[in-house]
Amino acid sequence: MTLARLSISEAGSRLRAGSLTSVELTRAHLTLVRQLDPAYRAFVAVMENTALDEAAAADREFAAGVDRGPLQGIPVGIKDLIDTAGVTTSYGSRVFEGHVPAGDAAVARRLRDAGAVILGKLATYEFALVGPSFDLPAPPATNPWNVARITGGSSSGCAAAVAGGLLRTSIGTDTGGSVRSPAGYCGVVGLKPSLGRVGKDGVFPLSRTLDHVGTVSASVAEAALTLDVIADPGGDGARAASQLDRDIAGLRIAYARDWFASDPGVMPQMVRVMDAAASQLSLLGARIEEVSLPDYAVFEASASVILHAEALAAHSAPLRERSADYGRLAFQSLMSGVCLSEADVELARSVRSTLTEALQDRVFNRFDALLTANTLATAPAFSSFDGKRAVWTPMRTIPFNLTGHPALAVPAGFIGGLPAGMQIVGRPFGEATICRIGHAFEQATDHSTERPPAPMGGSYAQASF
Amino acid sequence: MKKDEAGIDESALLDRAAALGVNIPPDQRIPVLEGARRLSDACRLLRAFKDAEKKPSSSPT
Repeated sequence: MTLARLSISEAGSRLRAGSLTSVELTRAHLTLVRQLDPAYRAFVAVMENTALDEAAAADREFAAGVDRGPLQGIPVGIKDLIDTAGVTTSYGSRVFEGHVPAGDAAVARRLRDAGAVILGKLATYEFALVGPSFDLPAPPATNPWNVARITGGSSSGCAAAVAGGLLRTSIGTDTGGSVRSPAGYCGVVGLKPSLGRVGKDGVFPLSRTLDHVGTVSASVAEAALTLDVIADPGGDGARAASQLDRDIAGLRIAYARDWFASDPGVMPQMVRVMDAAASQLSLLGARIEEVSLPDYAVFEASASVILHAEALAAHSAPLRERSADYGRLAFQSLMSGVCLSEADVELARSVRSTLTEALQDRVFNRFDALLTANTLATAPAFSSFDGKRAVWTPMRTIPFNLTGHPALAVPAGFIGGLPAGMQIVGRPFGEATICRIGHAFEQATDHSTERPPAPMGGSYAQASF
Repeated sequence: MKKDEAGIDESALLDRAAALGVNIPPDQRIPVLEGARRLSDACRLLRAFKDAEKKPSSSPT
């Protein structure tokens, strides 16, 4: 087995025992990237030299007895929407082609302070807006379960890299589901923390009040470890990894089944996957109760108006100066926002407050967590997208960007050989509880241990050490 | 003034874009209008939601 398949905690144990070096681990990941990424296109930049320097520095610190925590010496990837000092960061756009930030984003600084090895920058939909696009400097990332399928987005490279085994964890962003939906399509774990849990300085804004920094990881435990490193202190989310092994017996989980089960876009098999997941959580001792929530369409409408208004404001200068350099889909999405008035946006913000209070009243004053669908179908084929106009894929993610509740995407089964997943939502700053539920589910099932087939022209066996 | 079926005014949309210093190329106008129409529908839904919220709820007699 390649060393790159070791979980973060397994690798960490070996690094601390002296039976593995970070340089060896980093080289194993780099070998896989060289072999498999031509098919997955997860990386827009591989930082081989600096990664090996950082790995060597981690090894020197281990030898000196310096322990910076669970990500020390571990290769990680960062979405290309997040600034990294001295490394080209183009936000997935020709508009910023060749842009080299002078400083690190706050989250990148936390990773460096924790001794992580930054292996490279990962693909994103242009400015995290919409995709897949075929008129950008780099073609879109592919889904490791079937490279003719999309990853979802906008943290497309994060999901492709983790699902393809190139990384165990990565940092993405989520404004309407950009961590969770690609995690769902690619069969990995996506964690959108509470609004305000992880600093956003140095992240190119899509929507200043809906943007979140999150993780895409191979397992819930690795998502929790990553969160513990990047989170600002406070709440139980700062110690998510230490609470994973508490059982979930007696936890009260609301099940928002009517939010997705009758949607015309839902796959019937997805409803069965969700019902089976609810049953599994019940078998683990959780108390599941169906609840009725405010109309999903109202959440989506409020978020959509806010997102488009804030995105247009964030892009006013580059649109004025470089509009011809935007890809078609991003340009169309941004410009559709010019129809909004200040009164429209004020109305959307007012509804946002109402819905946030309603979710708190109906769910989180009575329940420990909420279970609902993530994407309503498996990953569509690239052939469903012509790149000339946006195609919307149904999901249930954006309400929690609106309300700021933490939400965890966890693999829950397969439909026709493609991953299907669920979403567990928690109280504000309740990341530890949703990670505990997701971890218990993961331990009781084998969905997260399933691996995609090797792409044509590459194989894991070739990459073995 | 051209109006599409959802009542979005294409000329006004182009004027607003021009006020931002942005020209919407002819081959992108229909997709932009479609997006604007979705946002207009969203605003209509939000207004209906607020109106329903303001109405006093009926109570059983």
